[in-house]
Order: sequence, then C-alpha cells, then structure tokens
Amino acid sequence: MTVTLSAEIAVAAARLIVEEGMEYGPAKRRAARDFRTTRTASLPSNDVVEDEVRAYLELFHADSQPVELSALRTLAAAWMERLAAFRPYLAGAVWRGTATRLNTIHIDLYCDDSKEAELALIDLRVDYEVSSIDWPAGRSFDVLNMFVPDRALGGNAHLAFTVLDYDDLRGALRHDARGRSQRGDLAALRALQTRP
Amino acid sequence: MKRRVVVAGGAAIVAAAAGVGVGVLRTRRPDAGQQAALDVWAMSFDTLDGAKLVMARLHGRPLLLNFWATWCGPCATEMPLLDTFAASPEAARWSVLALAVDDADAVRRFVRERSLHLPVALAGITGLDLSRGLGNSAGALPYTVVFNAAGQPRERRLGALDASLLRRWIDPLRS
Repeated sequence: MTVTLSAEIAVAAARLIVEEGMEYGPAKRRAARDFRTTRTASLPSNDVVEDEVRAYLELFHADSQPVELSALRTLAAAWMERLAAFRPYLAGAVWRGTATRLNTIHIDLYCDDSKEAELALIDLRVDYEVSSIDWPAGRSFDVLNMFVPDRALGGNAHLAFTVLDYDDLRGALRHDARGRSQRGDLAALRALQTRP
Repeated sequence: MKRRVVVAGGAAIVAAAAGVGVGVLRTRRPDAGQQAALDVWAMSFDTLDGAKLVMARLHGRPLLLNFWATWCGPCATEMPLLDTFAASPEAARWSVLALAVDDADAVRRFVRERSLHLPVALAGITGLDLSRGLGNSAGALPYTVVFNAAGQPRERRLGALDASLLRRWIDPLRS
C-alpha cells in the first residue's frame, strides 16, 4: 500500500499538534502547505488526525504525556468546580486524552446569561483576556482566556472558556462518527481520572 | 504496478483493499510504540549478500530507518536522496538502513539497476508490522523513523522524504 497524500498530511499534522500545541484545523492546513497542496479534498478528517496524534504520543511521549494529561485534567476539574454554576463541559484534547502540556484546556460554559460567566471571573479576581470564536450561521461567541501557573506542568497552562448559550448544550452532547463524546462534565471527568 | 510486483507487495495490496491494514492497528497496546522501539534493537535482518545485520550493533549512533519496497513509487523517488545522505561525510556519525518490505530477488535487482550503495536489509512482509509498531498507523510506504543515539525514536515521516526535511532531522542530532 503506497502512501496517500491525505495520510501523509495526517502524520505531519499530528507532529505539529503535539510538538507545537496547534489546533487540528491550522495544523492540517500548515501540513498541507508543506506538501504544496491546498486542495481541501486532500485534508484528512479529524478522526484520522487524532489516530495519528495517538500514534505519535505512543511513539515519542509515552512516558511524559500521561503525566501531563493528568495535570491538565486536575487543573480543569478545579476550574470546572469554581464555575459549576455555568454548566462547564471539558472539550478538546484534554477531554479526548491526547493533550500534552502545550495544549489549551478548552472548557465550554453553557450559560443562561452570557455576561454572568465573565462577572464570575472578575469576582474570582482572575486576569483574563477576551477573544471570540466564529461559528457557522454567523454566530460568534466570547472566549475568556486565562494563563495559570501550574507546578505540575512546570509552566503556565492556558484555559479557554467558551461562553455558549444554555440552548447549545443539547447539540454539544452528540457523539462523533465513532460514537465517542466530544466533551464531558465534571462528573464525567472525575470518572475518567479515577479509572485505572 | 509493473511486472516487478512481488509476493510481499501483493499481500500488502490485498490487505489494503480489504481494509485490513487500517483495522489491525487499532488494537495496539497503549505502550506498543515504545515496545516496538525497544524491540528494534533486539532484531536482526538478512542483508543482500546473505549476512546477518544485528541491530544492536548499530546502537549508540543516530539511526535513520527507512521502510520501503521496490513496488512503491514514492520509495523509489526518495532512494537517491537516502543514498546520497548515506555516502555523505555527515552520515559518518549516523547509521542508515533501508529496510525492504519486499522479496530478496526484487530488492537485489532494484539495488543493482540503480547502483545504490546505502545499507539495505530485508524484512519481508513482517517489516510492515514492525513499522506499524513504530507509529505507521496507515501501514503505508515509504515510512521513515529517526532514532537518537540512545535508541529512542525522535522523528517519523510517512511518505517520501525531501532534502529540507532530512536537513531538519540531521542538524539537531549532529553533536
């Protein structure tokens, strides 16, 4: 079986995701550019890239990654506890188990009132920066970004809270093509952490 | 695919067509990658002149391990680059091994026709399993893994190498 361009891009993207902490989309596009293609048809699916990320972690970071993931999940749990009123759900690589210390901790907040979460961070005297993320259908959401020193990680962790509407929660709990969840609440996270 | 198709190639293609190549991989143990990396150093392979290449003897220097086959187009494309690197002064501190997932006669003919001088050894179809253990999830060729002097995998590439990538690999491991 001779290699396909899409598989080559997936392998190269996995390296960018792990070694440079890139998100899937930008990593795929950058890897594709390195192969001198911009044809979106050549871009591998996120499922394929995630498989390559897992293969990469196994091969190169089998000793350090589980430790870093655990530290990120502990930190995520602490913040989900603090912001429990806003229905926090852990998403992204930290939820899926492929994160290393370079990855952002993505936590979605499903709020009744989008301003409340920001006020809560102010009450907690947290230094944060607001960015925004665009969704299809012209929707846009605020993202509250924090950098938190973490001794277990030996540096700063990046937490990104996406402020969503309560109504978005139902769609968010759908499983992906392989039947795996895209995010989980605090109870689900604790279950992951206590599993041997 | 010309007449050079060999047993190993045929088997790999049949497996790929049946979707087996991708399916097998998902059952790996969590530590499979590290284990395969260790296993490599305990292996030995036949060379083209019938001798045994004991991998442990390559330990202690960076190793560029390339999985290839004569029936694989991109493999043939990158081979001159590997051959040039293997002969270059900076490769003196390296080990280079082109491990053929292929049959001995086809490999001998390929090496002779193209006047290749880099170290080549024969892994047969089991070479694909080894490459899978070393992170080749797609089970496709060519696939290349770079090990540091301590024998740990450091880089990998699915698909043909190019000069700039090779340069990026060589420089950090120069000392």
